[in-house]
Amino acid sequence: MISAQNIVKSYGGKSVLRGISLCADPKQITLMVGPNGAGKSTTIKVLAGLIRPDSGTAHLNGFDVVRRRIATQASTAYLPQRPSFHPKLTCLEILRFYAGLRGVPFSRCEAMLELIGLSDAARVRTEKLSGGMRQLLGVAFLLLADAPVLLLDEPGLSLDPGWRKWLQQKLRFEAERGKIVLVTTHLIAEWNDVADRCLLCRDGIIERELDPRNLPDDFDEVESGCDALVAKGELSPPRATTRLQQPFGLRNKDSVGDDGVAATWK
Amino acid sequence: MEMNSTMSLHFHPRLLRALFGREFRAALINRYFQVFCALGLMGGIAAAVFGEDSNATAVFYVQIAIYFVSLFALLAGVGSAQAEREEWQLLFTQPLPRAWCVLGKFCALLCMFGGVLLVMFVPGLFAGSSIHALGQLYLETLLLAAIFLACGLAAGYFAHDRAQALIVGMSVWLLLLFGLDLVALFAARWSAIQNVPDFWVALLMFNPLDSFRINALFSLQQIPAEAANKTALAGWWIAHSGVWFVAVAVFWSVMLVILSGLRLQRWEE
Amino acid sequence: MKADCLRIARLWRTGDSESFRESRTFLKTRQSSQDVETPGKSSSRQYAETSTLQACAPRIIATLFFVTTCAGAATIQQRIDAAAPNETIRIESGVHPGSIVISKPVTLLGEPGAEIRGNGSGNVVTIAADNVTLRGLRITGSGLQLSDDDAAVFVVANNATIENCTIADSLHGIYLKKVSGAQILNNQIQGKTSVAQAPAENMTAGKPSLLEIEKGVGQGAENCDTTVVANRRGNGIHQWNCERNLIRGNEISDARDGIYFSFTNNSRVENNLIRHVRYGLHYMYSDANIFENNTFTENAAGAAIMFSKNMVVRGNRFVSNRGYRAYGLIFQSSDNSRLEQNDISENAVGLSFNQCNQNEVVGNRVTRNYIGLRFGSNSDANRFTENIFTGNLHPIETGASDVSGSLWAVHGVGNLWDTEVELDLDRDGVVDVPHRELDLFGILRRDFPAIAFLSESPAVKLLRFANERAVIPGISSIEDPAPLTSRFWRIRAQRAGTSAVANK
Repeated sequence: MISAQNIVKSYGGKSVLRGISLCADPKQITLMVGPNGAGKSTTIKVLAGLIRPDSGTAHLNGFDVVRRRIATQASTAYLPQRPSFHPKLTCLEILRFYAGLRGVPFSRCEAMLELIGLSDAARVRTEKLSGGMRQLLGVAFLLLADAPVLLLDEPGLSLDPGWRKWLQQKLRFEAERGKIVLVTTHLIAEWNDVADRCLLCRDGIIERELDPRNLPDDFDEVESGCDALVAKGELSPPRATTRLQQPFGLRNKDSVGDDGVAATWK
Repeated sequence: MEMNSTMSLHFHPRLLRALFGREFRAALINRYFQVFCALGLMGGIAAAVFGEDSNATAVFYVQIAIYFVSLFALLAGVGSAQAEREEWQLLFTQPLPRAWCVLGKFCALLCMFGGVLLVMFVPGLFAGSSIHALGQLYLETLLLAAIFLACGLAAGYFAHDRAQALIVGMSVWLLLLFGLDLVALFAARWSAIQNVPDFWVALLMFNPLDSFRINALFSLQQIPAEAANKTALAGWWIAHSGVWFVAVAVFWSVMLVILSGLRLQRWEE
Repeated sequence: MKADCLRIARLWRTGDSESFRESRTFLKTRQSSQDVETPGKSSSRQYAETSTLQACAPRIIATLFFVTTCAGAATIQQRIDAAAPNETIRIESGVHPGSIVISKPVTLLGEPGAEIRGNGSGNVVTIAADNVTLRGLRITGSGLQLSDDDAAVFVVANNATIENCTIADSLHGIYLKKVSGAQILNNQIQGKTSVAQAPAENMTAGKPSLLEIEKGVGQGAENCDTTVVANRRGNGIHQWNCERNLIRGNEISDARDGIYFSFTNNSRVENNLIRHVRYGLHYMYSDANIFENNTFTENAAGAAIMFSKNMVVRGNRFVSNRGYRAYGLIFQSSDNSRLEQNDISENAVGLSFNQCNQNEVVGNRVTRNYIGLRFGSNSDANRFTENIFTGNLHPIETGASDVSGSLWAVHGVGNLWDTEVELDLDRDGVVDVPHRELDLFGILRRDFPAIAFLSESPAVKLLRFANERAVIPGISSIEDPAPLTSRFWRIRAQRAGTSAVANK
């Protein structure tokens, strides 16, 4: 299980994460959506051990991601937004290197390349790969170690629709095998009816949950929907002190949960 | 129990194997490294052919070490650190201490330099140089390479991009090669400095290139050193130039590798 | 007897011929009276038997054995006195007591193991007649009085030949005084480095100990600091006021100065090896001598040639004279000489020129010295060509001297220097641009000796390189208008071969 409480991160006085709290369970695909700059990627990098939070705690399978970084990373596989590899090494050499680090049999590398359809490019240097192929190699890297926690940051940006669909199905499959899958994306329409949960991240906090089976096409729709709810009195923003400038306005301060997790929305 | 599993992750030989394998593979296909190997071999043959006697051959090797090996080691370090700069966000999500990446890379590169330098020094044997003298020079050159590898890695890890790393690395190399000695040369004309010769000597002692050069001059070339032997520190340095160079090399290499490790430890995307 | 010999030696040295004749007569009388004594009853023998009997037992037994077996036989002095002129006297194996005076032209031919041992005072062998030859002898045990010029072989007559002799345990080795035509050939001369302690101290621990009067010269770090002690030694071969002598193939070690020349002209010194001494060659006020193919190595101060002219110094090796202030070769106030094909390597100062004029310095190899060439003041019209100045920590030291009075290239042929760029487009072995050899450290060498740590520094090379392109103001340098490349000699040899074929 992933649980994060009140994670705060600032860069040069600018707050990027202002108290993110979330949880993600096994056997589920948890989607974290939000516009650009909302703090999704920073959050997932904190969980992957790439960024040390200023305050707050995060645990993966019971291990503190800061204090027990190596232990948490042993059970995590992370796919960055734009995966980059050593330009002079081939796809197979890249996968073998990471297989060596993780103690994975080398035979799995070829299997992964076959899985993503890059068998022919196994001995091609990564500097010669297209953006999409590099993304696919990233997916192979993600699945290589068969880690119980999969963290994906904006996956499939360079993939064609077919491969995106394939990736979603693959993630569903992995989740059903008992893995925790946490995905960040701003292309919410692409992920409609894929995830089990959907967290809306805005301005460095988790604002609320959306219905993963009925996701809007874009964030304008999310915001207009919110305004309608506010007008009907059914919406209260999760954090009074931080949401003053936001379009939702301040309605019900009490709806903020004590655990910092955003209020649940219908 | 948790601690045990973490420790085993830290020290598993497969990690070292993977890091070494990757560096060897990357170096093998690296054009600059190939050029270095070729030039090293050519330099070794030139030293053997053009050195009029075994002493001249040794002097030739010393020049190669000071100008060529140091520079290529530095460039190799910079290049290797920067080559995977974009990959750090993948690499550092792997379950291994980041400092291991530096250490593994340093050790692997040093092993490769050891091999290349061996190729470079072998022709000297055919020129009549004694295996003992050449062996000593080989080890000292390897230590010099270690310092500049560590220096290059540090420059590569601290800089934001390859260009900046190269500028920083080359600046350090030029400073150590020319800059400090030029400053020392002009500073020696001040009476304030002349009154504290040991201080002046100590500054040179900590420059690895000066330390290597003095050791080579006074122990390998057998040039009379008595005229310089005027203070206690100077005398000690001349008498123990070999030991001192080893100490300086280990100090700088370890310090720079640790600095690089700390830099990676604190790096954030 | 000892006092008499000393007195006579002093008379010889004064050069007073009348007194000398008197002394010879006197000495003969005393020698005859000594013949009545048995050697075993001499004062020195008595002393040895009573004071150091236990400790020196093996040597004493050997000597007694010789004395016993020779009892009744004539001494060397008796045999010389009895010999006809030009007779050869064979000296049998064993220790024969000195001191002897040779006053007629005879040859002393030593059989293997023959030794003439002095009694520790005065000279061991005095050659007082012309055409005397010493061959194959070991000569030891001279006096140690520097003021008396005690020597193993003291020569005051002309045309002496001393050949294949071994000289040890003496003050001076061979002392040539106002002689000519002497030939000193293939001898081994080892200076005295230790002296026996006083008898009371000598018997400590039951065996005689030797008091080291000094450590081996050339082995100390600061050899010149030992000169006080070294000054107590004598010279290997000492010449004063001589003419036309030949010194060839000798090996001299552990003396004060290897070969000492003073007011000695027209002599030749060839193929000698001089090591572990103070000055390998100490040479003053002597003209028109030839030094050829000698080796001066591991000495405290190398070779010094001063106040002389018209010399030829050719093919010698001045190597590893490494003490502080040591030199390979000092040339001081000497003119019109030719230094040719010498190897001057691994010295504190390779070649030092001071107040020397009109010398030819040709084809010498000055390499791997701490300072290659020290060029002092008031030296003019010297001609440097075809020399190799490479691998020196400080290639030159000029101080504030004006070096422009000398020629650094002769007939378009300069010298080989350490240079970063050899631009030789016409491939004649001569670099197409002048070479400026920079004395970068100048007086810092004396004011701040630690500056030596910048020797061979890339920074210094950078400045030298810059100076070759454009003169750096305020820093003294030598300008060689026609510096050589390392291929010069090969190219010249090829051209010489080609022209020889064409001439044919």
